[in-house]
Amino acid sequence: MNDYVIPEKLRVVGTTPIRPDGHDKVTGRAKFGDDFHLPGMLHGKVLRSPHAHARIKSIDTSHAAAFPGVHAVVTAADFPKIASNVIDAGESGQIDMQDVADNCIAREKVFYDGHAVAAVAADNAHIAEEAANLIQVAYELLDPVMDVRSAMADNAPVLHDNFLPGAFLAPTEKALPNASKLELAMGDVSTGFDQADVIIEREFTTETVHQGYIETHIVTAQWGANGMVTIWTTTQGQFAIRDQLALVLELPMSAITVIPLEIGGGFGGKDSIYIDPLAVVLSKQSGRPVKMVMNRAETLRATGPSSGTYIKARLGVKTDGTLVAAEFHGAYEAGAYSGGPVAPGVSTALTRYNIPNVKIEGYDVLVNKPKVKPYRAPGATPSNFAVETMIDELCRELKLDPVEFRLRNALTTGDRLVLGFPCPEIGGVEILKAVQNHAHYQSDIGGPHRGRGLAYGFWFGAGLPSSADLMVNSDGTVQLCSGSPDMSGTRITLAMQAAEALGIEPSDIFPSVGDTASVGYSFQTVASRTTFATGIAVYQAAQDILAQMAERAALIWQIATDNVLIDCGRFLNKANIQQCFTFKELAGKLDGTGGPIAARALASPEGVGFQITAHLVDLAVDTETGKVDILRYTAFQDAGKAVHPDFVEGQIQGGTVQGIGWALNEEYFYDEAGHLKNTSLLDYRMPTILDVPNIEAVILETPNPGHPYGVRGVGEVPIVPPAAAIANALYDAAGIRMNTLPMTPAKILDKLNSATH
Amino acid sequence: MREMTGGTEKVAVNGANVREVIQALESLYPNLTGLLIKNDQLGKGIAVAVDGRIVRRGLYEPLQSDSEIHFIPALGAG
Amino acid sequence: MNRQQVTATINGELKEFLCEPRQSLLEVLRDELFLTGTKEGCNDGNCGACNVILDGIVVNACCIFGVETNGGHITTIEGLSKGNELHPLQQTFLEGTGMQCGFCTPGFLIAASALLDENPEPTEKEIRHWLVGNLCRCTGYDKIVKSVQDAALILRERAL
Repeated sequence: MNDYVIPEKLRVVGTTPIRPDGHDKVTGRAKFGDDFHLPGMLHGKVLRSPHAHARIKSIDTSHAAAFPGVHAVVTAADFPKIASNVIDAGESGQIDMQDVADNCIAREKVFYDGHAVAAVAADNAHIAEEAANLIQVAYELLDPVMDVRSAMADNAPVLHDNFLPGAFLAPTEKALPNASKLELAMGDVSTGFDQADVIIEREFTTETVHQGYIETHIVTAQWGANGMVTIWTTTQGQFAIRDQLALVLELPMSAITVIPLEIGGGFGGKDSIYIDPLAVVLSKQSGRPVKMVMNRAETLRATGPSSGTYIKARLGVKTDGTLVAAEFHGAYEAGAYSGGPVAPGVSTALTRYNIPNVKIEGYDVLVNKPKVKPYRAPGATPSNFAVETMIDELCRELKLDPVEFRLRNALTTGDRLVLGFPCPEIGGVEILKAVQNHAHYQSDIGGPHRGRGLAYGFWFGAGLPSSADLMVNSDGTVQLCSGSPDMSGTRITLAMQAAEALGIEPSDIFPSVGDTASVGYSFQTVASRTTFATGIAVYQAAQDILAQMAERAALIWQIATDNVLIDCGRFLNKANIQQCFTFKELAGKLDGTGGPIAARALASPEGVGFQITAHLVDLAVDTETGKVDILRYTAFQDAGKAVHPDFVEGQIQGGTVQGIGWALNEEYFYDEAGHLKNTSLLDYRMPTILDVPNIEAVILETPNPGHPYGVRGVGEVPIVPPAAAIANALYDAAGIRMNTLPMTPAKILDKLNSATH
Repeated sequence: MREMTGGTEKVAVNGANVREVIQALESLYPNLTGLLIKNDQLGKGIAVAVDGRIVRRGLYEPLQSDSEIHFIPALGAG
Repeated sequence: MNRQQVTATINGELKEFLCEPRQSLLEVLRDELFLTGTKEGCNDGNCGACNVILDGIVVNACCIFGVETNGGHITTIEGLSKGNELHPLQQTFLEGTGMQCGFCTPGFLIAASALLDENPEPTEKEIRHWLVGNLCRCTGYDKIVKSVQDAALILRERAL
């Protein structure tokens, strides 16, 4: 067992030092994906399918190749045809590399509006774009299918004749021509429902949304004269990019070096390749480095959004509020290729409650939209919307307080998850009690057309492999290099953990992010894992450093290493504590006692802590326009141990606002032919600073014994409950039950008007 | 040894590690090995929880008597 | 396409450059002058990541042509600090964690600096109204507002 004994008092963890990479970010010096230039660099642009579903009959690139300023043109013919090959990836657990390759450049069929068909490298992006438009592609149009229920219906257009089922324990034959199926169960639902005093069954639909990172996708690739490839890119996982490229291009992994630049947002959407293989092959053919930028329209049209869904759920409860049975049926869009978030989506639907009888059915459904990618707790937001609004309905019917109801049914440490195993340490009950005791919960709502809503949310955590290197400099400062790209401040949270472990100050530690050639393998910065798992690698490397330094002290004092006491950055002779070195002093003596010291740790931690949260929102609805104003928002979340509380607050606030956008405005609009109509940020409407109030983040700490300081991941669960909380507040304000997302003013007005008639 | 299959049933089998448990289950569930083991490794997309912790050594993970094992979908995130 | 000669004062320095008529100011700043602090988020005026100050007004550089700036005065994020001395906004964004990934930050800093130049004591509502053209996807805006309020306080105290 790996349980750590968490120190009572922590010196650095829990404080708020300034991040060392911050200075470059406020001065514009930080290098993001498009800020990188190489001499002689060409610019690449992609020709994309204007059709949602079609067979490619022919491609004529001759006019593009002849255009002045063009150096190379590629189509799928320039890439190896690889066999179906399933690997671990950042998203639903596994992806078929043949699908990934075909998604990067279409081989025989195009599956969505925007699917890449060819690419051009030229002297500048304008020339590349003009030339790309000269490529002639003959298509045989096929009928598209644009939502899960249509895709699952009889006689639906079929996307793939064969596909591997998505990432779950399931029979290998697919359930339907466009869908594979997942089932989970506990107890016996028919007995369970027989015991219920009240049963409700409801249906929900939610639309496709995008992660909306402000920086799009950018790659610069250089094919070296010796066949070694270097990539500079904005990514959540440099090793994932490398490994996927190696498979798609049939190169050895060691031939590819991926150097992660700063990343301007990812949220799960930047964990795999898109234009990377195109840039590499363009570079190979032209003999020059090639930069490729996906603009905003391309990013919306052709990079993985998160699933639209259809959900049907049934809950059975006794009059005292005990949940006795639950049935959950969820169909989640996979997009153009199989492997969407159905598994985590259905697994988290009910996981935060103890329900003895559960039946869950999930479908991973192919539709003519871009292949979906993870978006911060993938799959969980729609399922939470369904379940938490039904619970709100049950509370009202049974006249039970919403917090008391959840307390009665709350999953606690040791209770069985629907996946079967017992829940590790979790502070769900503490969170619910914090809600009850908070001024927001106790305050008067005020005004007409105002309402208050509560929702309770859960998300898993992850360990997975991480590496960290620590190198001690002779002046006592320390270099820390990890394999985890820094999306939002993990350099400082890792440096803080190193400082805590070594007994020095964070300002004495210089943290950096390594490339694939200079640091050990690390899984992507996803799944709320970095501060937790890479933190453990840092901690372990620090223990190694301390042990090595203790040996040096022992050498100097001519004592056994066991007699060296390490106490918060000092090394003492147990037998004579007058003999003492500070970390700095001992660092200065390393060269004379055997040479410099460094340590590396690769950790795959098992003691993962899960995420749990409750959101409370007050809103006002304008009954003439349907517009919702969020008046007050409080998010309660268990952080295990907040390493840097300001950053934890930031994760809570950021995820919450994304959830508010998902709840009220964001959706992909497709026309009947399957064209994406809102390809700009004007019409793909994300929350602005005027759309949201201050978000109060209340951080609770039930330490996770799987981490030396009690850390559990915090980044994802904030996006899970806002939609349900807002829907519940809307019912409180105006008596309408929303069962679709987003809850736009038009839809709210519709409900208000039909309610009065 | 005790084990839950897909969260629906509880079965008791003998085995010193996860591979031996799967082999022991084969007689009860003939399709299980093909489902769980691919290329002599635990199939991608499948994770194993032993006594509540998702373990990393796959088929080689040693077990105690009274270990509780669950095969679960490998869940990903963003 | 023929390139035209343009002369503009950028961050206090007179600069001469060549650009094609079809190139936006954003493209010119980033690809011709290598001032990459100004970012592209959407290229159609909807995210504010490319905010610069042109002749005293906050503009989206993606919506201005490079040739239009002939004779003009431009301030980019690179010109916000004075040498190594950070503008109070830069300091408060650092201390108040007003950024996570940092990509939208240059745009916010430019826009907010223009706000504080015009209105040294903005209310929260005025801050939110002024910055409505700047999108952030990471922070939820909370700490951005607080950082602007803190910077306004510092500037007012200095003025006393």
